[in-house]
Amino acid sequence: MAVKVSEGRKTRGDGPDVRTLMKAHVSWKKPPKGASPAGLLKVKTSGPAPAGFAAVCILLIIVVTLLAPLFAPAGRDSIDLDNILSGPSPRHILGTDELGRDILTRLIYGGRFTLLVAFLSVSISLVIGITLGCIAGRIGGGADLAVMALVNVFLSVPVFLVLLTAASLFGGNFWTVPLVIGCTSWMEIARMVRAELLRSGSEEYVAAAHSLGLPDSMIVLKHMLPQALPAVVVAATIGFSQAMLVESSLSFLGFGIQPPLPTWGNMLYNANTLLRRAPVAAFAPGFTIFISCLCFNLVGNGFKRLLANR
Amino acid sequence: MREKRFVLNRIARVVPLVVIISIITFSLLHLAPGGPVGVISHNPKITGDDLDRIRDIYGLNRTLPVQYLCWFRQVFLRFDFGASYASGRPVSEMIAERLPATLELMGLAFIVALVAGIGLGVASALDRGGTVDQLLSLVSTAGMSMPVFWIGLMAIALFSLKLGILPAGGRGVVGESASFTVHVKHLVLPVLVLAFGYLASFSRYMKAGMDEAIRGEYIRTARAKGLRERVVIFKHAFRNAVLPVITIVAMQIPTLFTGAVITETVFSWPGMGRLFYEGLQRHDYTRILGIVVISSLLIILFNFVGDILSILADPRMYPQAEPD
Repeated sequence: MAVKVSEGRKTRGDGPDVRTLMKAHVSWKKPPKGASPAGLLKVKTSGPAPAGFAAVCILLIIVVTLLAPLFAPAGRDSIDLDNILSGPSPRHILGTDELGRDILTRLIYGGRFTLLVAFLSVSISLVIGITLGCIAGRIGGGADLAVMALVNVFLSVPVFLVLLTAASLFGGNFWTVPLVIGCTSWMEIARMVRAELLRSGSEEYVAAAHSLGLPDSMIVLKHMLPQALPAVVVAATIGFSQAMLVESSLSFLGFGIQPPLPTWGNMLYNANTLLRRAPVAAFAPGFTIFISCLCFNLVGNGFKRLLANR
Repeated sequence: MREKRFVLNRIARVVPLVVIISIITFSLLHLAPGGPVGVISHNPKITGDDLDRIRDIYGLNRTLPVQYLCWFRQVFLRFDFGASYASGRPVSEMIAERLPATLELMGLAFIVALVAGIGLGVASALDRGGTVDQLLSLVSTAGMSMPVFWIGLMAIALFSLKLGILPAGGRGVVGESASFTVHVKHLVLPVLVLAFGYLASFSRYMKAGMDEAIRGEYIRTARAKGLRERVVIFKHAFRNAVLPVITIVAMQIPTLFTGAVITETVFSWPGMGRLFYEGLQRHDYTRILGIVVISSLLIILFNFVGDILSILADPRMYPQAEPD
């Protein structure tokens, strides 16, 4: 028996010997099974690489939609009566919709409004969420109970139904959609801000700032809120993609942004009737929504990872 | 005893919730331009006198709080949601007709998503970095970024229009006897489509929970005791991992009603979601109010059941003090 080798040197008098330590170390960290033939499938969905790639895609989308007139092959509302609901052709790369408008053009212009609506929705939900979170976290007591009760109500309400009702009643106005989406998605942000404020409220620098005579509002704004910022950024990014999905659902049912303003969602209005005649018209806007949401989700995941690794 | 206290506490929460929800919806409907009869007033054939008479009949001339109180008494004491503005039929009748279809769709989708999500999550956690894990990551990230109705449309395009193996919508075929296979065929696509989105998020939660549980010290103890790996995983790790997942999953129940409206519209499923959508299109306010209230009650009921289940699973989850 190679006793000498296997026993190894002891690290210290009574600890395990080096070889045992090494074995424990090795078996604890199992190597990833990337060597299998299915390792070709090795696609990561979190981490810096996909997040960076997604961020670049988002920038690309933003640039193309902002510079729409440069990229769009046809006019935004120009109608080509000879080619209603036609499939892809050299003249209309993605075909035309039920009024004869070029789909690719509508997609590019539609990106503007979709992104705008999502941005406005997230902004509104941030404003409401951060304000209510601050009130709950800092003032505490009755205000805290009130805010948490409000959060619970909003979380148990059939949100989409009420959303639909509001959207259908006040439908014609552009601002209805972002307002309604914003007012129903602030809960998570409020909870996060409140939790963070409650946590950092007991930190020493807060007591120090208070004793220096700093007013409460300044303490919250300059010292405590920035602590909540990373989590809020993650929530906002993922909220962006959620807002896009909700807007598209509203528009699919006909209660979103009204035509002729194009959004990716309202290009899918009654898309089930288009499925037979022009499947591309039903596929393309949904695909762009999918890709954009995917990119925002990947970026959000990337941020989350960044947060977790700090 | 604490069980009784818990149940009473939960029931005490329900009442104000339902009241608030009904007040919100009630106010929304009356705040709309023109009020509940706003749409009818656009009809040139209806004179001002007619409008007054309609308002009288529906009691719209009274002050709002009075209207609300009467409606409240009517609904909760007599279970009468009033008559539909569009068809004149009692709303409760219309809802009762369509509710089973929605419950069937939602229930099945939820169960499928739960079972598959938990299974995939566990498999993925056990297989870290392997094929299952990567595939699941991909599918769940993609699934959470797709609009539900788009998945439905693509599914119809593929399975109904192109391959022709599944029907494109509806709940059964008129005239045919209710054969089980036909019924199942009509269920497959809507249930899978609705379940897909939830599957994506449930499996993620399960995987995260399982990852966390497997790292626990007690797992190392169990292995050191010499227990079979399967016992270690399923009896110890899984049980601990599943609890937070059940809580989170229960919170997703309200969103089922969202998915129901959209899925039912895409697949022409004769359920409550579509009833609601049609009510919106026809400005049928009594119907809208009735469905919102029923949905809220159902959500609260399911949340209650979820709470009870999680307490049964782990008595530590009794709220000691007010949570949050």
